[in-house]
Amino acid sequence: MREYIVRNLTDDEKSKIIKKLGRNPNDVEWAMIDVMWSEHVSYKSSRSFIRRFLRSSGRHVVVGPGQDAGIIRIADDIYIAFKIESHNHPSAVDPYGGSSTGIGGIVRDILSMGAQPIALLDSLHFGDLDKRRTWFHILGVVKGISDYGNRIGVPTVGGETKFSSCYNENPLVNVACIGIVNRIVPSVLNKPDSALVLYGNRTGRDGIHGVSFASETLDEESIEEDRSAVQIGDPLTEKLLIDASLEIFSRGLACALKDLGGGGLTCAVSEMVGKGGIGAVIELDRVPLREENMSPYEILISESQERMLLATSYDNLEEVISILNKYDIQWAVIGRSIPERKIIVKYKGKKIVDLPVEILVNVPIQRHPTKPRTKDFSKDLKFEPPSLEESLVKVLRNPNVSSKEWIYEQYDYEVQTRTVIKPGADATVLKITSEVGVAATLDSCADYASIDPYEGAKGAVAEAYRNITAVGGEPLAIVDNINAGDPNNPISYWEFRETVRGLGNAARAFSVPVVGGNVSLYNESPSGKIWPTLVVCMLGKVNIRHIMTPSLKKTNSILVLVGDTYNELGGSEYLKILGLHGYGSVPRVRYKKEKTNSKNVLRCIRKGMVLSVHDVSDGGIITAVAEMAIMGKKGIEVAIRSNLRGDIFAFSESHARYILEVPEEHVEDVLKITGGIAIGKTSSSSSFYFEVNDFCVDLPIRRLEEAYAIRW
Amino acid sequence: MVVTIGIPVYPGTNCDVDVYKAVKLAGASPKRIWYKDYKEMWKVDAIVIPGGFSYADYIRAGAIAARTKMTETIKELAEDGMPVLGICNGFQVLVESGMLPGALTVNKSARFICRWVYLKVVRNDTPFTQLYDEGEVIRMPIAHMEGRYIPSSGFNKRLIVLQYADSCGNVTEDANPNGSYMNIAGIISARENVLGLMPHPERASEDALGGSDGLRMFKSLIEYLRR
Repeated sequence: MREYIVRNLTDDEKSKIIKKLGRNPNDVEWAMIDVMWSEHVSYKSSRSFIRRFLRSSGRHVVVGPGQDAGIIRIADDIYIAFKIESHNHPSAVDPYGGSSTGIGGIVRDILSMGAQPIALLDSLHFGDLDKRRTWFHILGVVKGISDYGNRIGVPTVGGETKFSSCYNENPLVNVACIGIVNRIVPSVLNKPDSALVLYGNRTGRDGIHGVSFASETLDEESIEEDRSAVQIGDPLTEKLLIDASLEIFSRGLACALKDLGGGGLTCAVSEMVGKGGIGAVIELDRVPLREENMSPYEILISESQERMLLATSYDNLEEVISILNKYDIQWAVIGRSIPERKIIVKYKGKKIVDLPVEILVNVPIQRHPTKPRTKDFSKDLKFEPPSLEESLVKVLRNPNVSSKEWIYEQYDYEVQTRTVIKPGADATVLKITSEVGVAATLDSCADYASIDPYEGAKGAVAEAYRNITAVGGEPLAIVDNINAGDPNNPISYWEFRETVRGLGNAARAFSVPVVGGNVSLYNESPSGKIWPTLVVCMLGKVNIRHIMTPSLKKTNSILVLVGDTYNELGGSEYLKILGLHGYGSVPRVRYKKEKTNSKNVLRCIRKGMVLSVHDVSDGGIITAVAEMAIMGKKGIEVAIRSNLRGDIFAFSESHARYILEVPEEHVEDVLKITGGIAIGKTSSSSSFYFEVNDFCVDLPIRRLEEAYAIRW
Repeated sequence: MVVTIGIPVYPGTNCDVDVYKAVKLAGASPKRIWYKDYKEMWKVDAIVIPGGFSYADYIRAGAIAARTKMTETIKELAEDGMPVLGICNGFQVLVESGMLPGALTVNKSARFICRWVYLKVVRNDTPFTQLYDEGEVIRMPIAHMEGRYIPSSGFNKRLIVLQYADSCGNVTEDANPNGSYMNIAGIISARENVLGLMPHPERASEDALGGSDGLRMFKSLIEYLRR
């Protein structure tokens, strides 16, 4: 039998455990404690900041953080579950396996709440496109999402893809899932004498040490060696798991449900009963295995995919089993819950584990020193602007800005026939009833955060807030994913803290509670660390009759700019194409303006006074207008006078701004409501004419389209 | 008269609920039938094999589903003249089981493609297309990895019902999303009761979702059955 090697515990933690337990844990017990105390499962380095800065209550919140997913109410009888998770480390070493199992895991989290998964969104961050390693990541990740997501019949409806050299070795794969809840199934069990049913795939050796591996930094060796720590996905079983689970829910047979993710069976059992104040006895021999001669610790911490742990009453067991048999799903009754707060594991007639639940689930908070990064961005930004035409084409062709159709058309975004606003708009809209819809967006502003982590985090929330607004949605709630570096590195840990603080403050200011989240640390490799990257998944409520897309609809309508433009080029796409990233001040979030402008834009949409809306973000005003023209295949004529230098006005990425397309007859009202300015009109010509001060672009729309629609 | 439409569900089928909704909207009574309950198929008036990834497309798309008792039953019913419509993976099951000629193979781009496309209705004298005009251009989404139609030898062009086209109805190479022979999007059996198509009519059955051209395909079938 292989010996277990403890990977996540410091000597100090080990002695604390021995003292608490009053004896030395045996090998199997060490393995269980080790995974439960890993960063990935316990959030030991991140919990203190999260508690301090994040607010999770609100009018719409039904289930906040701590369960497998957050749940909000969007209408009288409509409850929506959503959650986001990262699969960064696995995707770095095995992009295909990493991203596909990331999809599988998040879908099971939603399922665990008793919800039907209805949509996926993903936020992907890759390295430079001229690196071979980046293409290894992109092709594998996209194919993994496509193969797995498409096969399980859950549409991938949106997200974002960004590129920077800081992700060369550490790409980020954050996936979010949304579900409709009919009856909430808790992930916590407080009833002793319930049967614990493990169903889905057999347990194998894949994914052993998965959590430990996600709680360490990557180096050359680990990239080669840790491939065995990446799980193997099986979408067919996942699909059957979804179908069978939904049938179990609809007949009210589930007392509690958890998916087996990080930490495998150990984590699922301890969290299910531990948080419910009870314990469990597990008969390890009953776990269906994929391989022979697996040692007990391997069975207990394996992260084999597509497995669920269901608690049900013994009276209902037969009915549960008949459903699982109908779908040809492997199952086993592996144990029962007990009133004592203990986890007992039996194997071959012997008691091999006897641990108090507290040791597994109450992991002490770990604090690390922080050290602020010296602000080197106050450097004066002075440069000679190139021609506006040349810059616009370059910005549109920049992969951060250009159309992502080449990616999202590899995903089935239509299955389940709910996708009203398709990928490529500011946010996606899913139809729930003939009237009520959910708007969903994923946003990050890591380029701002690379210069100022606090403003960058706030910026991600502000951008998501605008994206929901732009499609006609009322922003309701957030789940977040924070990706950062090694917490033992004081600068990385400071960046992490600033990110949580920014998220918390912005969410509070916008009255959009954070109902769940995920933290991925250790995104560092010998060649460097990633920018602190906060990914915000925001949901909003829409009336299906009042939704908006960014594509221009008519000729001779008026373009209105809402919101003020400042000299805020820091972190912008413009400075990136000029090779000046790192200079200048980043866009500042002005809460009051952001909220007022959102409210006013929504008012115009609901009154039917606008034809299209686009938020202004990456690439500034000129890019926003160009995107609207390209998508709507309409010409435009814009002329603006500004106190800012023309190119700065055109490319500044100040927040709180929108472009509206307004029919002539409503212009006066829209200007009155929004305080915006008319900047030009749509035309029947096929040219893009944009003039600001003495800067000017006059190009055929087709030229811009060629740049924007670049396919890789 | 209540028209009952059977929707077989194989492990991995994922468009069954969408077809169910569309068939209901079109005015018939849909019935989803798990592949183990294949005898239930004897009680329906027509069959719509929905899309998805039956058996995860292992071996080849539709290959395993084609060898189940459910598909054998559908084949027998089709031989007796029952109308059968196969959508996407359903089309793949139809060619794999020999109910339709030819083969469907990996897209020319070797990638999965999800996209709204224009189709030219070549024939409107079938149970599935009678509510369209001949030559009409309609819009529906496709979503597949293996949709490139390859004909068998001696292919009869009369079988072509739908072709990929541009918005004006021109059948061009640019409008062909997957490299199908002659831009074929849908073909019918020689007996004219089995139609297979790669695009998804059920996803184009409501204006809010981008169009309702697909709904007429189900309405055509229902009208045909009522006569």
